[in-house]
Formats: sequence, C-alpha cells, structure tokens
Amino acid sequence: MASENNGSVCRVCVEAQQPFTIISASARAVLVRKKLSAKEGGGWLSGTLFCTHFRVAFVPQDSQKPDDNADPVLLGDHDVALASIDKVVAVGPSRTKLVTPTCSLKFTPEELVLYCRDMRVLCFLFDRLTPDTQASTSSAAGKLSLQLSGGFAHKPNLVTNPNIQCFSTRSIEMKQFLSNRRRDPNMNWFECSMGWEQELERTGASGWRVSSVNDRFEMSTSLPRFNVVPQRVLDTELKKTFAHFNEGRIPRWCWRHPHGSDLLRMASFQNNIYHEKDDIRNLELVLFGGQQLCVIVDLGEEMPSPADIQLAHTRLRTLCLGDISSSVSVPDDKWLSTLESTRWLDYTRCCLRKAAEVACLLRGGHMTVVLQEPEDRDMNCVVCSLVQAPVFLLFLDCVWQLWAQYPARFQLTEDYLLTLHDSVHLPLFSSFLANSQRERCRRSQSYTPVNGLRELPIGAPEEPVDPPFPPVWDWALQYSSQRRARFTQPVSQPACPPPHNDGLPGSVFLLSRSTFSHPSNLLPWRSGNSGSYWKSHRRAPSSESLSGLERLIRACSLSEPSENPSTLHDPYEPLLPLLLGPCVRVWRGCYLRGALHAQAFSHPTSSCNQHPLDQLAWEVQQLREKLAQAYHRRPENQTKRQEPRRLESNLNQNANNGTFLFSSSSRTSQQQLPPSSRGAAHSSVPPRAQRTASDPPRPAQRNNGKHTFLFGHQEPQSGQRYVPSPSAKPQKRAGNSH
Amino acid sequence: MEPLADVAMLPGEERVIDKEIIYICPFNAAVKGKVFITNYRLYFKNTDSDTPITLDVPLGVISRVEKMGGASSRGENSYGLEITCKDMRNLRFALKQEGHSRRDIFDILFKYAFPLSHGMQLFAFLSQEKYEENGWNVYEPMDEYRRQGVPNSEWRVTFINKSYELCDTYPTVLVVPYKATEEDLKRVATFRSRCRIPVLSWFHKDNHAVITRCSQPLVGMSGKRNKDDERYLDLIREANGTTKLTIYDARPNVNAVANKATGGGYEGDDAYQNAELVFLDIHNIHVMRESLKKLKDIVYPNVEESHWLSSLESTHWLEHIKLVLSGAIQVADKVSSGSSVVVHCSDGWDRTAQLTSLAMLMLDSYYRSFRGFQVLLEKEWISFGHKFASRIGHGDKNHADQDRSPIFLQFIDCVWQMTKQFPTAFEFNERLLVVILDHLYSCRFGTFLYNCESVRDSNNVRGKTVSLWSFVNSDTSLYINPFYTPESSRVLYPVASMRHLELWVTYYIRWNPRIQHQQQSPVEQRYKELLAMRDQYLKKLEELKLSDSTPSSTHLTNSSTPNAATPNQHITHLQTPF
Repeated sequence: MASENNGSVCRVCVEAQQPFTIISASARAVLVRKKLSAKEGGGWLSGTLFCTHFRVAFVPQDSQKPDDNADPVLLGDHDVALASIDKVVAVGPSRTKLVTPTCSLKFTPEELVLYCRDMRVLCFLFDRLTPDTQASTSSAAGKLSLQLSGGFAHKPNLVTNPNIQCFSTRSIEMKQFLSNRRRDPNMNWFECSMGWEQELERTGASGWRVSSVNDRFEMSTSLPRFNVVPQRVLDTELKKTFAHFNEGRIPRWCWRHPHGSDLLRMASFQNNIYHEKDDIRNLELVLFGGQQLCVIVDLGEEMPSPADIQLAHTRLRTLCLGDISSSVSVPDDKWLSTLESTRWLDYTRCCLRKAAEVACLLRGGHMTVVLQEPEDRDMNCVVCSLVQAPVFLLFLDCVWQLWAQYPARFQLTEDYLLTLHDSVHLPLFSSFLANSQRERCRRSQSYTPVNGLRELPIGAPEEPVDPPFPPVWDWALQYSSQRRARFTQPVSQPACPPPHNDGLPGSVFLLSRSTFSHPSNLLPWRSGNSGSYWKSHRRAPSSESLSGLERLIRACSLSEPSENPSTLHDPYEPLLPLLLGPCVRVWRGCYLRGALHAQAFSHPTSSCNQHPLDQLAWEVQQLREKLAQAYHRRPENQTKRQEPRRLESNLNQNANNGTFLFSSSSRTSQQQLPPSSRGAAHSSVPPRAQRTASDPPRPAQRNNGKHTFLFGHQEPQSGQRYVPSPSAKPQKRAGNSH
Repeated sequence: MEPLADVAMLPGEERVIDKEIIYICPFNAAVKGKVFITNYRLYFKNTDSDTPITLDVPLGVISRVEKMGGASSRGENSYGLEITCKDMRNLRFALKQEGHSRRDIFDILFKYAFPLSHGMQLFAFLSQEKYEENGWNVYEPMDEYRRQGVPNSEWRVTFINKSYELCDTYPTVLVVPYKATEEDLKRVATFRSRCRIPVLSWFHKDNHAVITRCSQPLVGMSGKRNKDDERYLDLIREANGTTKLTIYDARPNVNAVANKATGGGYEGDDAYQNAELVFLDIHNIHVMRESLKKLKDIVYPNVEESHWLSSLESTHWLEHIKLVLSGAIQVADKVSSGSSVVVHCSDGWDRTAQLTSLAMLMLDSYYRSFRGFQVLLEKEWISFGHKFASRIGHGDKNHADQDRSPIFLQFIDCVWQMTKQFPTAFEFNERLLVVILDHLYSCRFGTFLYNCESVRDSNNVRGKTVSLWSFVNSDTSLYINPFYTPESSRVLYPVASMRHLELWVTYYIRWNPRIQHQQQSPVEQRYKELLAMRDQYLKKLEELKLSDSTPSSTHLTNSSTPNAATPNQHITHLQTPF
C-alpha cells in the first residue's frame, strides 16, 4: 500500500471523482491538529489538512456535514486562501525552516506555521501516530509544505499580470459557479446612472445631475462612466473641462451633508493650459456647484504617500507577526516605541484628522469642499489587492478607530471590518482587483450597458468565456450565514430627513496643514497671467468668512467636551474621532491575532457563547419582529401590514450613511424565508437561506454530505441548484463534460 | 444638609471659608469664580459665564499646597496657589495681588488638607453619614476561611495573635499548618522580618495546594539559618504532599542580595532543600513612585502628542504592570498545578499583597464577584497590613516622604487590565475601581486609613468611621458589569505582554476634557440602550397582547399566516430590478 493512499493517514483526492472541486491530483491531505486561537476557544482541533490550487483547507474531524442544500462557501471557517499566505515555516524537532518551492526539507516537520498577509498565523501540528505510520505522515507533511510554498509562489504572476486568469477561477466548476452568482439587487453599485440618482435623492442634493459624458471612457479612462456634476453645466460644456485636470479627473460630487454642503473630489489642475472665457465659466460652475463658498482641501502635501503607507504597513506586519524562522522578534519592552516607529498609527491619525476637518467644514453648511490630490486616486481609491500600496487597509484601520470610539453609531461590527480586511488579500474579487470601472468592465465581458447590472448571456454562447470576478460584497460566496450574521448589529440608530439650500458662486479658499489661505494662483484661471478671467467675477474673500471657517475647524481639532450630551445624538453631528495619542490605538483584534506566543496563556472569555451584547441585540431584534407580527395580526392593521417593515429597512439604509455599500435589509429578510416559499425563491435568491428550524436535519452521510468545493460528492440534482434559469443550463453541461 | 453652591454637603461637613478666585484651567483660559473650602473638600464654581465649570476636590487628594509668585510678581494671574494632587492632576488658582489676599486661604487649605500634621482629625471621624448596610461586616475572617475549606486536617486557625503579640502588623485570625505548634510560630517569628511569619492566604479546594505569604527571612550578611523556619516551610510543603515548595521572592535577585546588608535576605538552597526559589524581578516602592511621576508628566495637563508611545514606554509604568501580572500568573499557575507556594518580598506588605491578591483573583471566581472583590481587598490588603497611611500619606503634609508609593494603584491597574482582557469575568465594572481609588485618597471613609489592624483597633475605626463598602453597597447598580457571566471552574490567565496591556486612559487622563466623554464605556452604553429598547418592546408587546385578549386569537394559533406575507413581499421586491 502506497503510503499516501493509506486512508487512515493521508488521502489523495482525485479530481475526476469530484467534479465540483477545484482540487488537483497533487493536492495532499494530512491528518493534523490545528492550534486554535483564543477567539476560537483555544486548544487543539484534530482534522484533515488539504491543499488545493486555491486554498489550504482544514476540515475538523468531527465537523458537522454541511447541508447539501447550502451553497458551498469558498473558504470554510478554518481555511485560508493560498494567496493570503505570506510565508510557510516548518518546525522540526530541533530547528525551524522557511519553506520555499525550491528548497528541500531535510528534517521531519512536526509543526507547520503559515504566516498570512492578513496577519493571521495558522499553526498545524502533525500527529504522531505509530512509528509505522509516522514515516508516511512526515513524508506527506514535507510534501504538503512544499506544495503550499509552491502554491502561493505563483501568486505574483497573477498580480503583476492581470491578464493571466488566476488559478482560483481556472477550474470549470468554479467558473460555472461564479457565473451563476447574482448581484444583490438591493445594493447600490454606483455603476449606472440610477445608482447615482438614488444617492442624490437619498442625500437630498439638489442642483446636481448625473452626466453620462464619460460613458465610453473617452473623457477620462480612470473615471467611472457616470459622474455627478452641477445641473447648470451642459455635457458639451463639461467636455471642455476635462483637459484642465490631471488625467481628466474633474471635480465630481460625492456626498451632501444634511446641512447643505457638498463634498467633491478632483485631481490637480493642469496649469499650462490657456483658459478660454467660456472654460472659466464652466470651471467655476463645476467647482462651486450651486454654492457661494468653496474650500479646496489639499491632500497631496500632508498626507502620507502610497510608498510611505506601504513601508509603514510592511513594518507593522513584520512587527505584529514576529517570525519563528528568523527568531528576530522585537523584545516586549520595546514594543511601544517600535510600534510608534512603524508610523502606521501616525498615518491613521493623519487621515482621521483630515477627515475630521473636512467633516467639520461640511457641518458648517453652504459650501463645496473639494478634496484635491495630484492623482486623485490613492487616498480615496480602492486598491488592487496585494503588492500595491495598502492604502485601503489604512482606510479600514481609520474606520476601525472610529468604530472603536463610537461602536454604538455603527451598524457594522468589528467582524465585518475584519472580514473586509482579509478579503483584500484574496485575488478573487472584482472590487479589489481592478483599478477602475473601465478595467472592471473589460474583465466582465457580459455586462449590459443598459442598467449596469451584470446579466447572464441569454442562450448558450459560442465558446466558453471566463466568468466575471464576483464583487467582494457577495458575502454568501465566502462565508456561512452564521458568520455573516455577525457582520451587523441588529439594531441601529435612526436618521432624519435632510434639508436643502442654494447659493451663488463666490470665494474659494485652500485648506492645507489645518490653515486656510486664498493664494492668488489657487485656481489657475483666476490668476493674473491666465488672461480672461472676468474682473467682475473676482471677489476678495472676506476676512469674515475666513475666520468663520477657522472656527469650524477649531471645533474639530479641540473637540471640546460637549456640555450638552444631546449633541452626541444629533444625527447631523459628525463622529469626530479623538486624536490624542492614547486614543488612536493598535487594532489588536486584527494585527495581533496571529501572535501565537501571546495566546499561550490566554483563555477565551467564553468559548462558545456569544458576547452578551450580541446576545441582547439578537433578543431585541427578535422582539422587534415579534412586535411587528403582533401588530399585523391586529384586525385594524391588516390592510396596511407592509408599512412597519418598510420603515425598518429605511432605517437600516439611513444608518448605513453611504459609507458602506451594504444592504442589511436583504439579509434579514432572506433569512425569514419559510420552507413553503422554496419554489419561488429558487429563481431569485441563492438557496442558502432556505433551511429553517422546522426543516428536519439531514442524516449525516459519510463521504457524501460535505459540500464545499473540496469534497463535493455531487448529487445529481444539486448541480442544478446553482442554475438560476433554464437557459443557463446548456452552458453548465458543456462545462461538466469538459 | 446645607447646600454648598449647588452640591449637597455631606452630613458632618462644615463650611470654613469662601473666596473670589481665578481658576487657571489648563484646558481653557483662566476662569473667574468662587472657591468654597469645607472640612472635607475644595469646591470651585465659575461666575463668569453660563457654561458651568466646577471643581469638586476632596481635601484628602491634596499632596502639596504651594504659594505661586509674590506680591511684586508681574504678569497676569501670577500670584496665587498651586495645588498638587495625588490623583494625577494639579490645580492653579490666582488671586488679587493687593492685601495678602491669599494668606487666609493658604493657611486654611494647609491646615484642613493635612489635619494630622495640625493635631486635627481626618474627616472620616467627623462624617455623620448613615447607610443601611454596615460595610464593616463585609469581611468576616472566619467566614472567608470556611468558604475556602479551612480549617481542615492540614490547616488550622490560630488566635495566637489575638492581641497582636506575635506580629503587630498581622490580623488577629491566622491560618497555619496543622502540625505547627504555637511555640513553633513564635520561634519562626524571630526569623522573619517584623515577625511576619508564613500564613495561609488561599486554599485550593481540589488539590489542597496553598498560597502562603510572609516577609523575608532574617539571613543577614553572615548567612544565618533557623531550623524552625526551615521545618515550618517544610510543613507547608508536606500539607498536600507537594514535592518541591516554590518560594516566590517578588524582588529582583540583586535587591534580595542587597537586603542581606540590612539583616534580610532570601531562602538559600542549602538551608531549604525541598524548596525552589524564584525571583520575580518586581521593583521596589521608590521605582514605582518615580515611574508614576513620569507618567503624570506625559499626561497632565497635556498629553504628549508627537511621540506618545515611546514617551509612554520610557515611563516604564506598563512594564511594571506587566511584571506584577506575570508574577501573579506564575503563582496562580503553580498553585493550580497542585504545588503549594510561599510569596514574599522584603516586608511582605507591598509586592506580596499585589501578587497574592492577583493570583487569588485569577484562581478563585468568588473574588471576581462584587462582594468577593471587597472581601479580597479587606483580607489581603487591609487586614494583612498594607501600609496605606504611609504609602498614601493621609492627612500628612510631608509630600516628599520616601514611604509614599502608588502600590495599591498599581494593583488596581492590574485588576483593570484583567477586566479588559476578560470583559465578562468580573461582576463589577471600571467605575467601581475608580471609586475605590478616589476614596483611597479622600479620607471620607475609614476603609483605607492607617497601616494595620492593630492601629485601626486602637483608633476605633470601625466604631467611629463609615466603611467605603457601606457607601458602595448602598447603590450597587452603578458598579455592576452588565456583561458578567459567572463561571467558576476556570483559571483566568491574562496576557502579560506589552502587546496586550493598555494604559488606563479613563483613569490617568480623565481630567483631560478631550477624553472625558469616553467615561462611559461605549459598549456598556450600547448595552444599556439595548436593554432599554428590550424593555420598551416587551412593554409594547404586553400592551398589544392585553388589548388583543378578545377571542380573535385565531391569528395567534396559526403562526404561519403572518409569516406568509413576508416572503411574498420580499420576492416581489427582489424581482423588481430585473
């Protein structure tokens, strides 16, 4: 018996027998014990370790067989994508070694430590059985280690050359599966004009319209197809403004504060351009919207550059992960100063401070606040996964700081932020893989320009095409419903309807290094040598408005104690972060979760119980639903039964505040689907939510019940579960016979 | 009760003087107002604007009062008083330069802030406060030992110290090895610094391992030995069949050696063959005092902005916290593995109290309850003679006294670190810890007065003063951790790493208005909001049910009826965009 086919120790999974896996014939399976983190309950968990093209999977020995009806998830609770792995270290009886694809292990590893880019550290202990089987285990362990390192070593190709399809989507099954994902229709994707119009309506912004002048990316390749500009500027006029900005990134509307200020963003001005009379009028209009006052916030100078952030993040990761292979770890008594020297927290504070200043300006009302940086893409844009600057991670850290200071003001939870953090490292999501809408569109051949929602091609295509990458927001693809339930706090704060205002163009100020100025060349077309700026138009900025602006900013930098506690609950009040040194903290839950040595002594607070807060929040949600039901049951309410529910979903949406594209109402309502609606739900929603408490549990079947990509011994009809409409079937069949 | 501006005065509190004054607030500008001084507190209220700025400072908090500037000093507000406080803040007041305007207020402050230096009584003896519960009954030694499972066949209770003859800094009730005779105890006492012999602090019900505490052995330069002491430690070891008794010497090795010069020392290998000695490297009271001083420098009045973390590191405060915690972890771990331990430092009333009480907090969930924590403080700190009077300097003007040290504060900080790491394991919340620290200094209650039981007895503290626990237990709702989930069996080991310790911002930086509004833990706040919401929903539900009691309950029996509406509605919603 070949050692690796010894069923008790190792198994080799053969692709042919498991059509719904992405596993290759070379994937190894080894019996191991996984070291559990404090959060997971601590201790060790026995199970089987697999390596596929996409992930390292750990399946606990006595894990419950997943429900056949449940959607497979890409990553189980114990899994990690190869792309997330940074380093593999094998620990032998007397030494440790960094495993690389080219090296060979000259000792029997007892322990395998995976250092992940998302700062997790996974530790697996190879079980020592009888001396007889030990040889085979160790050989398999060695091979697995090499396999692992080989697997993730491929990753750079994928990133540096985005045209190479990543291996996670190479398999036919995976392609089919991804093809059948549908977008959450309740979410605003901001890819069609409707999305932006909804947002204008939601924020009550008048005087702005959605322009499709960039529909074919002819004006600017990096801007989206639809952009929000002042109503008074016609598309023909707008077209002339693009040349005046770096990469054609003109000022675009992002958000309106309920007090009536508008937030815009743009790239730096092209200074060497002659300003025609008409241009100037248009430029002024584009910059001021309907407002009288404009503050340009310079982000270029004081904010960290992407290179700075990259360096800081690399240092932070090195510091937090430690490394048993190099045995160079920062002594504990130097932890604080070393953490400081990464500058990560400085940058976090810098971003928060700038954001707080902008928030304070917006709170003042009646102005446009324009964020300007040379490229207009880094401090704001979502970044391609891996290698490139972890600017997005810095943003997440900032959100976490705010969350940690005001947890009650967020619907989302720390788990949600953590999940988003980890997803950045997976080379799978369109949201993080491309640099712009144009690139995203080029990748997904099947987009329909009519409404921007990706539709499946009707009828079988002539040749199989690569499916589009799913967006990261398709959480069901990755995580079980229990885990997704932890993404939101069930009860969030209500919000109020927004007012509106209008005004005339006028003064413009520059905000840089927390001070206001109005340099004569701030707007190139207003400066003397640019020629034809109407003298009548020029207004000396009054010192009155200057001091007014300074007062607004001061409120934020001092963040005076609010004598009146009610201001804390004013829905228009920005959440001003506390920026004192001790208040900006290291995100332990994320960066230090891999620090195994620190967990040696740590016992979980309560191993399986929820946090009492979550428990109570859940209770409140149940009560609320019960109340809604009780209310419907009352005869006098039978006619207007739908009202309270809609109100609730509105509350949820308002609480999202446009910060995160996340619709909670869809989650809760999908979970409420009773079994009777199964047939109807089939065509529109993924079947994951169909099992309710009243469903009888399925009998566990050995080797048959597991339903992830890894193990999918497929039942004939379950393949069709993922086919949303009969028209898509032929495509799927073609894939299977491939 | 006579009103004082807008706060009610305590029963027994008397007004002494009030005066127009300028409070030089470090966070705002100078504030004009009026200061009231009573025999208990300094109270300031501004008169120059409608937004109230107040100070309410118990005089016990004051460690130093100084005159600032002279009659001829130039500059605005340069003539006045500077008050240094024990609770991480300083206060500056300015007065008019004419006519020695500050003389009376300075004299009165000096007198009432340091009553013991002026032949006067501490306010705790003047207070007339009455509470339903008598907090002095919180701790009954015999009850507590019985709860632990003592006396038994291995350990006995002795009253040898009932009139403080064996050791004047120990309590009257002691638990010692069953086999040790009263004569043994007396002979051991001669070989332990200040006669603080090893006695039982905690008994492990399952494995019968014990935590015992004592002072250093009087080894001296000549390396003296004492057969009785050696045999006595062996009796402790034998009691549960521990193979090797572990002696935790809280000090750094070098300090223990240096103590030989003054007659002290540590248990040598030759003399104590069945014992192993472990040094825990915790520094002495002087190092801790200097460390806290440095911490105050970087947080008050302004928080060091640019290099906050390295400044914090250079105070070493968190590092000391870490060493104390990791020492206690070692003690707890040893005991839970079944081995008995002896813990001592030099005199066994500072670091020893920190280590035994923290280890007990980790081992015994009772001490993590609201009442149990009070018992722990009464037992390990108050009855076993932590020198509160010397360490805090109650009512004493000698602010530079080298005996002062924030040992108890450091312990409370360690407890706070544990509550942070195990948010559901403690029945009490952060507010209780802050209140304990506030009244550690305030001298309003008798709980933390004097150095040991014998002195407390002779001053009749129980008869003449009110216990802090009378006050705390009169409204427990303020101090209860809503997330508490009692769990008895597990030992709590906090992570004693700089990576996981935090500065207790809401205590050390609480005077900074930019921190203030965090006072209420956001999580707790959220929890309370949710609780209120739950109650509200429950009430509404109840109302609905009441008004629904008419027999139209066919809807109630068929629960699928209301459900059916939801999915239908949902599906139409889903399909609209397609």
